[in-house]
Amino acid sequence: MNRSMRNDDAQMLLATGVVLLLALLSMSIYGVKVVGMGEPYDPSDDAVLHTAAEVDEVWEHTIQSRITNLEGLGTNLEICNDAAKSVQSDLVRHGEHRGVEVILVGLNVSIDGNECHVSAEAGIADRNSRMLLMLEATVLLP
Amino acid sequence: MEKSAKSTDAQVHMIEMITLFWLFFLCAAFVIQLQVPDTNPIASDSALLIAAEDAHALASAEIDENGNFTMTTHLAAEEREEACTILLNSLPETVTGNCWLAVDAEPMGREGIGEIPPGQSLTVMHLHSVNGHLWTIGLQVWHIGSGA
Repeated sequence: MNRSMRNDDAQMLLATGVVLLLALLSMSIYGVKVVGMGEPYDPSDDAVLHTAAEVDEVWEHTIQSRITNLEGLGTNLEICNDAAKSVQSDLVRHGEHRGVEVILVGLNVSIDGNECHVSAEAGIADRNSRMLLMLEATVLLP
Repeated sequence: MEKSAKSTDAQVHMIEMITLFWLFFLCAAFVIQLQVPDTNPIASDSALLIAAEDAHALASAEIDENGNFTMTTHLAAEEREEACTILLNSLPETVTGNCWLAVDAEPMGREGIGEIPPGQSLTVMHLHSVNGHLWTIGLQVWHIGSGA
């Protein structure tokens, strides 16, 4: 009987210890959350949206300009491919400048008569958000 | 035997209490060490952001006597300082800044007389396509004078 009571006491002690431990842990988690609330306002919260809009805006006419600049430096497919690839790498670099990850994958170039069709999948992300964007361009060959 | 068992219980109590106190002080020391920063008021940051975005919009929309966009013309001619001057001149009196430029894959460089911001600064970035070149324009701004 005495032994049984001692076991109960030990279990109660253990339970009390666990409860206290959890209480302390939740206190420290609350402390960390309070610190999180003190984070300054981040004006770059919408950087992904702005970057996506600007990338989409420059995509087609930059390729068009580069194709014009590359006139006579290869076949139509080569010119179009080179223009698209150079724009792709420069956009990635631009993303590095502004602290936003810009990844362009699935670059597809095709020639249809006097037109070049370029498409790619743009993944744009920062620490707050990420988005996927389909980039399409139809440009005239020189 | 009974007395010995009670002593053992007491010791377990002691050890448990010491452990709990140790955990408590550890948590307290951890929480105390966390430094909550005094945040800049949101209004202050917003004022900077609006000033920089306005300056960029103003500079981008400026047209010369031939009807061309002045900043685009400067960028096309690689006149970086001139392009940056337009940007910086478009900032309000209580805000100043640095202008950063990069074309295509080159690293960003500060144009003109650079200043080190005395406190918190904010940078807005924009992408421009000029004659097939991709320009990254960064305007780093901070408050001065009465706005600081």
